[in-house]
Amino acid sequence: MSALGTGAAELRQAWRDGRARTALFALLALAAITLAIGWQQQARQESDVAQATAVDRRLWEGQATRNPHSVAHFGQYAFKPAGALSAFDPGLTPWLGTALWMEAHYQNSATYRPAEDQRDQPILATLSGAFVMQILAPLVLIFMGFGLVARERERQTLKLALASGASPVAWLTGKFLALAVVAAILYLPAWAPVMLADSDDARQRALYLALAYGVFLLTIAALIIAVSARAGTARGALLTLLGGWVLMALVLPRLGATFAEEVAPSTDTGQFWRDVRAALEGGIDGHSPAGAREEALLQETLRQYGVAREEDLPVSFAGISMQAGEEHANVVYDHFYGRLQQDEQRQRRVLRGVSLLTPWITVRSLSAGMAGTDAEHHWHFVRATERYRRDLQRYLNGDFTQNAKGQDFDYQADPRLWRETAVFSYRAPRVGEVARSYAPDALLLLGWATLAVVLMLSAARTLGREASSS
Amino acid sequence: MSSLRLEFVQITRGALPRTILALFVALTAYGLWAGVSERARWTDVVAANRAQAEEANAREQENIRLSRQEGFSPPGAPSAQLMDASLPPAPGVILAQGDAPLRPVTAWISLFARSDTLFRNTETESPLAASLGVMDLSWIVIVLMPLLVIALNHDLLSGDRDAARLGLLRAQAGSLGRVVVHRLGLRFLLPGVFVTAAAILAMALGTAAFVAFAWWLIATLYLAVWSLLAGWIGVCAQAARSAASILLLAWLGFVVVLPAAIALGIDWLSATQSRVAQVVATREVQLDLQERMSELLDRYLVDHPELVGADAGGFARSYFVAQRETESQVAPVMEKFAEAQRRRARWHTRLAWLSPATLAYGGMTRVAGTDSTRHDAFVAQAQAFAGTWRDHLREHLFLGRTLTPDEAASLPRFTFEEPRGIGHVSRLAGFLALLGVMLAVLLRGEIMDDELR
Repeated sequence: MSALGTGAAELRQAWRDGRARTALFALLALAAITLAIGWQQQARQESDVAQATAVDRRLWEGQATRNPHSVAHFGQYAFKPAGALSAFDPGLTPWLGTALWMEAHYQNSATYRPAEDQRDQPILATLSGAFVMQILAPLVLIFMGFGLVARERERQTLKLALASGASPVAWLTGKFLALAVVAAILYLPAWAPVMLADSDDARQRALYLALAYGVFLLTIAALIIAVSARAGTARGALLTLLGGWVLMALVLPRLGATFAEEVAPSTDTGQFWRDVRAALEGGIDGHSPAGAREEALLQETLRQYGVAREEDLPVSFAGISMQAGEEHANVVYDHFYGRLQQDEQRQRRVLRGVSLLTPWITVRSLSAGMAGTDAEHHWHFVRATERYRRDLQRYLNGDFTQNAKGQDFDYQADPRLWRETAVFSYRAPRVGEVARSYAPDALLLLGWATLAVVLMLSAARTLGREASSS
Repeated sequence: MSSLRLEFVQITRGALPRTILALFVALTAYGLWAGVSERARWTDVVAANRAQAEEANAREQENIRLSRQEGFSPPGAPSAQLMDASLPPAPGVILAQGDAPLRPVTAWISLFARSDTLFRNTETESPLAASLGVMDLSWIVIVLMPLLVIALNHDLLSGDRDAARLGLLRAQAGSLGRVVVHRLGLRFLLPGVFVTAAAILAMALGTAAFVAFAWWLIATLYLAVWSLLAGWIGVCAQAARSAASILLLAWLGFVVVLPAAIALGIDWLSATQSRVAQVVATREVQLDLQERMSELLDRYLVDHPELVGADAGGFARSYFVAQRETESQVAPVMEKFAEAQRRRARWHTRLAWLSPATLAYGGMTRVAGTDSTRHDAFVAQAQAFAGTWRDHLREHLFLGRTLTPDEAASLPRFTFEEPRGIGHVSRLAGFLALLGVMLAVLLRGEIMDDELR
């Protein structure tokens, strides 16, 4: 019998099994409900963000005549948009802040992580389209595929099938194709993001996402066939596959997380701000105290303008000093936030190492990356807000320097000054801009797919030997 | 004793069961290690923040003695005083970490502290590890131990039925009921030993005895429910394989799908409100207040006649009043969020009864002090402490007095009072016990069945 013939026969048999049909439809229904709720939440979040952004801008522009430095301290808020694909895979969204205050002197971190407001952490995760595809779909495949070969061996029909002249590879490929058809049905929810996409970039991301899940489910299907072909009994195959699922999908990612934290520990908030404060005061090297910097700046400014006293300067030295303070703080923040990012990158590398033991970490990383809900995209947002904040401070301090001479903090600027500032508008990175950073994950997933195929072919050869020895 | 040994030999016969048992020993040890590590990390964080607060206080005393000014404020200025309010490690963090690692454990209290901004700039820890979750002892008991129970009990009688040994067994033992009870009890010993050893070790490592006991009680009852369920299915099923399949499906439903569905259901029924609205409301109030700062200060002094003779000038006083006014105007918005959270908690309490796993996990983190309850108590106490701090320094601020070294030394310190109450745990234990009794009745009915007997 050809591979296609074997596959078709298996499919007919599977379709006759009411339990299999129920499991498939139940999963698809669950995915549909999950996506509907996810989409509703994402739409609400988008609307909240749009509304808040407009109100914050109105407040910013509505400030009456004030000192530019007071305006800088009032600052602006940047609200992180959810992104269309977060309805399918919220990724790290619950653990990342949603609002960032852009004010003078401080690079604040994003605040209001949804996880802090959720008083009821789920044992594994909240249901989402990604959870269905990553955790539940492989389980349904296991329940439908564990006995495909092992049961034939148990019933003594394996030798019969192979003795009839069928090539073991073709015969096993047929079994694989049958399971691949089931995987294709389970795969349907992975196409939902394509429909949810609201831009060309989102559509492109959704296609990559679907591709990743396609490779993942086929990898799982091939592994199931390989295990089923090597297991002595169907029960043994089921136990091995379920044990593998528990280990790879549930246990190893958590162990990996702990290991990553051990290798590259997260920075404690208190320590982070202690270090930042110390560096702001004494310089990153701890040897350039603020007072000395201020004095050196004054002397340099006096030299530049060719005067001997601060009062003789044609500009406000307070404005120059504030901007110099900002420039110094920028270096400090770049250093310490850069370190946070480096720690995260190290954790990511450690997790990639653990991915050699389980494809679940890889698919999780790819999925959140393509959905734009991972740490990489969050940092992109943080960097965009920081660029805007720095430009804003430079602009306001510039006005202060030019116009506050002799008045300094009593100077009152015309509101047009801040009404004319650029509106902060955030654009998430295009997939092409970040694709490089997911290349290792994509390669790891392909590596797993290759390994699965090799294991399946190796199992086919074993079956051939088994048949010829009888 | 000999039957115990025989049963143990039977259970551990073969490489696979031994590997599984070794794996669970390793997992239990790992869970303990993870708990001890988290407690050490938490202790270090709190100690560092405490040390920073005391160091700053000692420095301030010295500045006052030497009349040395650092920063913008003169030495002893009430507005420059700062104290930490830190949450000590939860009493049962070794046993259950819950979502405690996510929550901030220190609030910095000053005259200007506001309840809506007690915790700021806390996003420095990596979200990668948080999103993958921790594997603490409670998670191991709730998610993985039922699999051990299923592996041990799925063939309680169905294995003998598969091998056509039921008749022989009945003849040997006199009653199959006795065999079932005997086997069930003995096979429960293994997971029972794991959780008991874990609780004892946690106690030896510093967990309070009543916390360890309450955790052990919930864990034992939860695993007893699984044992009875596995025993019942293991007796009913015609074959060990179908018993295993049914039990694995039950595990999947109760431990994987249902808790995730409950979380989604709560999101749907009572969504977490976006804090974005709170930010905007606060900003609106702040902008309005900034333009009425002097008017506010005058009104405040009229409302507080005890501050007669106060100096109405100075940024610190205006800012203090503006902060109080902001807090009072933002209070209705904050209350809306608090009410939304309470509503969410109520839904969680109702829906959790659908899944013993969700219920037991919630109970374990509650007794360990790593669910939101203890943190809520901490936030409330930190807010109350901020009030005490304000009361202590308000007169100094408005009457223009700076602190003496002795006054600085004797500023209030925050002490966390552990919340009391085990009502939830006793209800939970009662429910699990009831569930166990119901399963035991079902099992007994099955054993009494004529055909089986």
